Amino acid sequence: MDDAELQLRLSACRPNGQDNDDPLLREALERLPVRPDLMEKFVQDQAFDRKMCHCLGGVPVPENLKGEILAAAKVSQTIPRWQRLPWLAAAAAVLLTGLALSLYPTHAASPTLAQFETEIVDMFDSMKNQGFGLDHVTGEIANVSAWLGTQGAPRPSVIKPCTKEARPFGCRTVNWRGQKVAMVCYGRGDQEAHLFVLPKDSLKDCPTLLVPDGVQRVEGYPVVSWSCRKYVYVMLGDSPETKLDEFLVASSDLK
Amino acid sequence: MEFDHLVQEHYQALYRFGLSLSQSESDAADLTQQTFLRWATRGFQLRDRSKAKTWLFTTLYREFLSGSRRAVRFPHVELGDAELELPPVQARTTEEMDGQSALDALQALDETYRAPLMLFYLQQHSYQEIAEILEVPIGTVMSRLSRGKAQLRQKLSNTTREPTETAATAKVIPFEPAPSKRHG
Repeated sequence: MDDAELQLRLSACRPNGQDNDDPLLREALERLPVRPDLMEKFVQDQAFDRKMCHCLGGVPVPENLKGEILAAAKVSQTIPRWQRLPWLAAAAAVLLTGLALSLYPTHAASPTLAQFETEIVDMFDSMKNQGFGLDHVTGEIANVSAWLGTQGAPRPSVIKPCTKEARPFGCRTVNWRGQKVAMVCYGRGDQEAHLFVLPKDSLKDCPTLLVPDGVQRVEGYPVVSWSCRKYVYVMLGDSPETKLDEFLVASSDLK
Repeated sequence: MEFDHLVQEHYQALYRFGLSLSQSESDAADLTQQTFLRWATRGFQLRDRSKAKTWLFTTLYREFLSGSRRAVRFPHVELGDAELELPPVQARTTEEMDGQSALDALQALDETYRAPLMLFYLQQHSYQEIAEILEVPIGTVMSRLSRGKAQLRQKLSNTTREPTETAATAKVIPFEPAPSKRHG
């Protein structure tokens, strides 16, 4: 262990001895008696850390927060019992999916744009309720595109927002009918919109519009679709109240 | 009641962690509440109950990242670019530091360092658990803790070296960049 590694380990030691039994940190601590220079610095660092712990541990917490948390949880716990049993829910989902597939006409293997829109809205609604994370957090559109490329997801050539006020804040992929769909999240003020991108040949039909125009409602969510080159783009508002129009300026460079 | 016990045990630390991330009391309260709501509806899926604490902090962190709070309201800006726009800072020594000034100093750091440092100073998590919560390797956590503490000390010592530029009532406040730097 060189000095650099030794100091890294020492900086991970909590100041009240909570980590003294950790093998990695104990090994570092055992070196200190023969390194008085480091020992002195470590003692100073620990004193500083103790002060920070004490101060941050005293940051006041709103008085009513605990009560609000408990009250909100009681409301949410009215979920039916079967939904709380993951194996039962999973089994039911598999059964229903199998049943749906067996009844599905063969020619429906390529879903329509309308089906995609409906299903992606349902999927998003479910993701939102369950809490979802982004796989890649970045404000740079170039990084969004590059990262999507590394994931084997659609990598649209241009996915700029339609307004200078909106900017991406991250992306991820979602699995729709066994294929990867790119999802790029935009923020504008306190609103959010999400752009889903998939190859044209995944759908039976494609939007005729080459630029986004005419916001529609799908399951209450504002949705707009267009296609360009080899991809179909479906943008939806984060909530039924989202003003999707504000993400779609006619004079934009969205292509 | 397991849920009540979890809330009692962790809501304060979660709130403080949320506050260090969001730099807003109301957002921190929302993040905390949302995290426990996720537990109430999804926590039953966690088989290893000893992981509940890590699950809660991970969930809050993901909740913060997935929202637009950071990207829209507190975008990443190099502190070097921002320093000119920071208000005057009151001279303080470590001995004079209180909760608010410690939080202010921490919030002046880049989020890369802020999140691991706050988890470290809350004292509830080992470096391994911090790595799990932030989903980064252990070596990265150690490195961020080390560099973050160096930055923190630097900032605190800078504030003590420039007393002539300070105002009696001023203090470090979270930086919010000019609109032109947010977008485009």
